[in-house]
Amino acid sequence: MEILKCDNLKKQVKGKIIVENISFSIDKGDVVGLIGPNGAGKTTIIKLILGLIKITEGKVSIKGYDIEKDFIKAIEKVGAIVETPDLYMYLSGYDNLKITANNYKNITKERINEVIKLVGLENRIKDKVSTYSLGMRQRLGIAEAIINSPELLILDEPTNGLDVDGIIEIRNLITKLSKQGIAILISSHNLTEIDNLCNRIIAIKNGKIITDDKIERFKSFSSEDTYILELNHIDNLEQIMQDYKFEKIEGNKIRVYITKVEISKVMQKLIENNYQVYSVQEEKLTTEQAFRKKVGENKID
Amino acid sequence: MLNLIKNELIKIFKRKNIYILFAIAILVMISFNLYEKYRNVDEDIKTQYEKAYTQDNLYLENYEILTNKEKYEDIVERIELEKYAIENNIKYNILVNTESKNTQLPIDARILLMRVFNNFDIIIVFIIIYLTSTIISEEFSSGTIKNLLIKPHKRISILSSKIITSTLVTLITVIIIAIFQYILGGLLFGFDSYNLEAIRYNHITQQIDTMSLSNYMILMFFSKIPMYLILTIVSLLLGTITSNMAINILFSLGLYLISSEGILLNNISKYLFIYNWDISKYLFGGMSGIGVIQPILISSFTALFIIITLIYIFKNKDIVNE
Repeated sequence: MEILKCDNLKKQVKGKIIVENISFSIDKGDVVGLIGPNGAGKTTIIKLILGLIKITEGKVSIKGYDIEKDFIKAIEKVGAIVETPDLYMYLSGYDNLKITANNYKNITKERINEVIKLVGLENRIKDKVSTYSLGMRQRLGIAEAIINSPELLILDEPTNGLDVDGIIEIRNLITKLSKQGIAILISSHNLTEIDNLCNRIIAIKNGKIITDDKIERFKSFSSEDTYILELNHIDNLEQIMQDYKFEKIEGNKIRVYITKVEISKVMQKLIENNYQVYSVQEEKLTTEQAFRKKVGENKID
Repeated sequence: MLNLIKNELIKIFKRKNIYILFAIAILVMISFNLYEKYRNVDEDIKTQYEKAYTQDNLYLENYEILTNKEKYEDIVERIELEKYAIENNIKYNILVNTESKNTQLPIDARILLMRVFNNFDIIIVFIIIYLTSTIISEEFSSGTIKNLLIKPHKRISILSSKIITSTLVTLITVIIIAIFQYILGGLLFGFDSYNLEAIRYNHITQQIDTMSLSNYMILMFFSKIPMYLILTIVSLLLGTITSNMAINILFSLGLYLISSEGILLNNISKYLFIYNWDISKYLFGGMSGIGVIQPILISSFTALFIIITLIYIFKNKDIVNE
């Protein structure tokens, strides 16, 4: 079931196009990673979805409701953290949650306590947010985002500032939520997290979508695969391998860019030229490597 | 909407700063009242009125040649009130807007209450502007406005709750200051004087008007409220545009100071809203007897214009990185 649909979204400010031709949809249970370098337009897309900035062209529908024409119906089952969790620092964690809960119908005290327990803030919930660490504020932000039992959860850098334990907790929480059928859109620079959490990737560059694919297909994106060959030596390899693209890596290992079909030809050629092939391994790209290949050399930070 | 207003009130009343602000205001009021209680006074009231009356008449005769002149109508008001006090053998200070020259007339709780908005206007204005800034500018600058705008409320509802809360806070501030002065004045000077009449000179009828103190205070309250409310919505508008609390406070205070000191006031600028929002100046024929209709109309249209502008900007504002 489609929860979110973006149709040809465009945002233009004073003649400058920030994002355009943004079309994608998210179904129930999807965990979608929105990745891209700084300034690519990820946060702009999130803000367009949430109605925080005006849409120049296009349409956003959440559960079939247009975000501009039917804002309340569209947004009532959405939870989000945009950029950073924005909290009232002079209030306690509990007061922040109470204020959030007051914006919805039927959020009981029990539900508030439930989300506090879910994010692990029971011991500090009555303390002022100004005394919280960054990780605790992040957790409180997530608690606020899920308090209304959303069907669509949008998280901008959810593991930002968390320690290892915190990251694992949030990862487990997101996995649990997705299993409950919540559609989740995560924008992150941490591609390891995207790797671990998402089943789909939308990659953005210069305000346009360059890829929208399942994560496995994203990582093995090219018509060429990569294989790591370990040989007995790598002397004079250039002449023998002149028909193939390869590079030397550590020790006596080489990385060869060839298809599955060609691997046996390469091995045969090496053996005929008195090389011994100790091992052959298909190299799976990480999301980061796949991203760099697709997006180019833009820095991800 | 009720829940939105409830949230706004929670956010305000859980701030430590608001209580510090009110505590400072109370300290200032106590200091001022104590000064008035213990300053030197001359108990021979009739002689003082007579001397002041003679001096003010001389002042008026030579008005054209004087430098650093007071307002003509203030002198006229003083003369008439001093004359009234002498003729009626009044044993207390009846001047509200101005002081008789070279006198040390004793003050009573009634006069201090009648002067509460004159004496503590700046305190009321500062508190209102500060609180209104937290209601809007701070939400924008801290980013918490994002959380609010992605909740199931129309932007107009969110803004309305902020306007209503600001209005409530303004009214509560004014009432608290007035009540506190009532209690403080009564404790220091005695509550008896509250039974005396409020006496003002009417420049239009050229007669002395008397009324009960409670009626006078109600009249003053409703004539000062437009200024406070317009300052409130100006502050909300500035906060929405600039998202900067400091600029908001400085600019709003600046407007108030320009208006109260009559800076840049001339035959054209006198139609600006800042010279028309304090209706109390137009009561009893003040401001050259223009009457209250002009300031009420100008203030009303101004308030409407600012609110419409505020609604338009708030509804269409893109929430970008601050």
